[in-house]
Amino acid sequence: MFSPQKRELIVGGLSSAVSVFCLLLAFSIESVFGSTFEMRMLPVFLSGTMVLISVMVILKAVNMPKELLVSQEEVQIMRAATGRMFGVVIVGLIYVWLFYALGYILATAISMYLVMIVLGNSNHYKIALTAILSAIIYQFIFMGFFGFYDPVGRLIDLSALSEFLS
Amino acid sequence: MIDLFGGFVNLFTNFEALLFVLFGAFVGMVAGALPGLTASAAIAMLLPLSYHLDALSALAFLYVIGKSGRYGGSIAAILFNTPGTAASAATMQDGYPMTRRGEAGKALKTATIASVFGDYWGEIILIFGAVLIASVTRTFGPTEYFAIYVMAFVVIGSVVGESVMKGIMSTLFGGFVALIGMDTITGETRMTMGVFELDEGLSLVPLLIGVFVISEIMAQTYVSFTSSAKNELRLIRQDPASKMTWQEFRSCVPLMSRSALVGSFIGMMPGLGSSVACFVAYGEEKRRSPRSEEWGTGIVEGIAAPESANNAVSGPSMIPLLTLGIPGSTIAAVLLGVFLIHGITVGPQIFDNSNSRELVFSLFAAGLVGITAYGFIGYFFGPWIGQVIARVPNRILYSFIFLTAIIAAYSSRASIVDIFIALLFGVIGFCMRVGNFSAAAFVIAFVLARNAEEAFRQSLMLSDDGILIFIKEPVALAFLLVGFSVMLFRVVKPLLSR
Repeated sequence: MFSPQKRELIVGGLSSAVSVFCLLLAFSIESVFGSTFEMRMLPVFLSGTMVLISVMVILKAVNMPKELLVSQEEVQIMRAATGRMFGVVIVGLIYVWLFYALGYILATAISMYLVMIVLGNSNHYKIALTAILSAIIYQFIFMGFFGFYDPVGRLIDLSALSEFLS
Repeated sequence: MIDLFGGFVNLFTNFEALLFVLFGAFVGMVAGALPGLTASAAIAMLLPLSYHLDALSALAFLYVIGKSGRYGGSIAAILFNTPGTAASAATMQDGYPMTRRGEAGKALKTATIASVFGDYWGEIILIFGAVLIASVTRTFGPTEYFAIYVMAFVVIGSVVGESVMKGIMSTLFGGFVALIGMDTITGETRMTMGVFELDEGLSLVPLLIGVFVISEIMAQTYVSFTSSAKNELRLIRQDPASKMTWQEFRSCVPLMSRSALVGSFIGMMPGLGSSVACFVAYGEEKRRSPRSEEWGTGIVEGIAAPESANNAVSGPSMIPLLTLGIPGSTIAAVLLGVFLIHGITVGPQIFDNSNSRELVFSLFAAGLVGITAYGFIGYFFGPWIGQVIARVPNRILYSFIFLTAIIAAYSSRASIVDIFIALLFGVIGFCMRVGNFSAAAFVIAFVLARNAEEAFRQSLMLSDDGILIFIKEPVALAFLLVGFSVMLFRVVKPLLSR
């Protein structure tokens, strides 16, 4: 499943996709002066070179060995681990939405609960307690002590509780 | 010397700065000792705190974290056979066998003494070297600066990883991402894709948090699920009372001095960091040693050499930053950001202005105090810190790191979009790791690219011959040649060795 060649081809393919996206983005810059000192000059050069290098990565990958790096069983473990790993990112995205909808303290408590599960904790009682306590502590330190801006949740307004804990 | 004395006076009369130096020594050591978490990650998470501090406290805090973080890596390397940072990978080879023999106390104390020795050495080279080099680079204009930026990009991209192509690619990508937002010369926005929050460009804090912290959490999640390495992170029996004898120390002094010199030289080179220094020093001292066959079996020399070298990198890695405005490492890149946040332009002119000169010498003093502080804490409490870390499971630890990373990303501009950016760059950072791209080259290029573009466009405006100005100016041409020679050497060397 995962030969060095296949891995490098995937890396090269992804790099190419990112590079082409960057190149298109660079070409989207409108000309202001119409001279050689345009502000798209460097972005186009950088992204163009990225495209060239990513093609070179693919070309190099073509000559690499095709033997499998890992067994099928290991691949299954890796797949499961990858799912768990991206679970962290998904919890992060949920956090962003919760922060917007419910405010900092509630978003922190819920996200802490979720991320602890994703990271492999299993005692739900302890997780819930840790999540609540850590949300209170984080609220006190960052919003209260350091005075970071604490926006009001769009769906639930817990500003009275936040102010009390801060 | 008078400036340095003034720096000490300035530091000791600023209670907040002094407190943050001591705090930084402790925090950096703990962060370095946590397997996976680097000093750069700790700095990224704590960077938003610097907004609430005066310039000296902020810079001293982060600078000392960088120093003690390098040392802290040795605790994990010696006790758990897992390098806390890449810089301590060589220390494992003799550190862990000593721990298995019940000599963890001696190994840790040797690492502490060698780290402090190397770090002092590097700091002294920084103090005298920076002022000397700045007197030469003071005359440079935009043409020379652009050439230096190009040299830095090419050298860092070429030497920082295993693959030159991927290193250069990382540099180009970092540079490209930095150009998103308002163009400094025309005032027009570019490549923002209609996202209002990107008008001022991407903020350094969420980007750093994504690349260094979120990607690390992802990596730790992956590792803890696919292997039992985490479960093996148990503290093996140790005897904290065992320590380096006076005879052993004396025999290590010449070796530590040579390794510190190697580390200092490597530290001055942009892109070459502690991880290179430790292996070069280890290899060289093993080669010179009359009992080279004992290296790797657990001898104090095998700890003293890499630890002295990797910590000696710390000070000199600031020389390119203070003399040219070019960070030679990710920690220096972050410090450049902190200088800018406090309205201080970094470069040779930093020594011209009396206020910024005073600040820089106070930072040097903070570095020396920080070394003393982590040396003291490490010598007496290193084994205890190791024991505490061994008892906290990664699944708990990284949950809190996740929460801290999120709030740190948010706090830089009080923007929820920055959390999203941190997550995005977390995924990008993880993909870069998997694909063997260089996060360090990416971050350094991100920090430098805007200045490079400005220098490039200013040079073209000054030039009558367009782009040929970079060839006609001898200093600029020399820098460009150095950069491309290094790249050529890196490309050709493997071909010749086949």
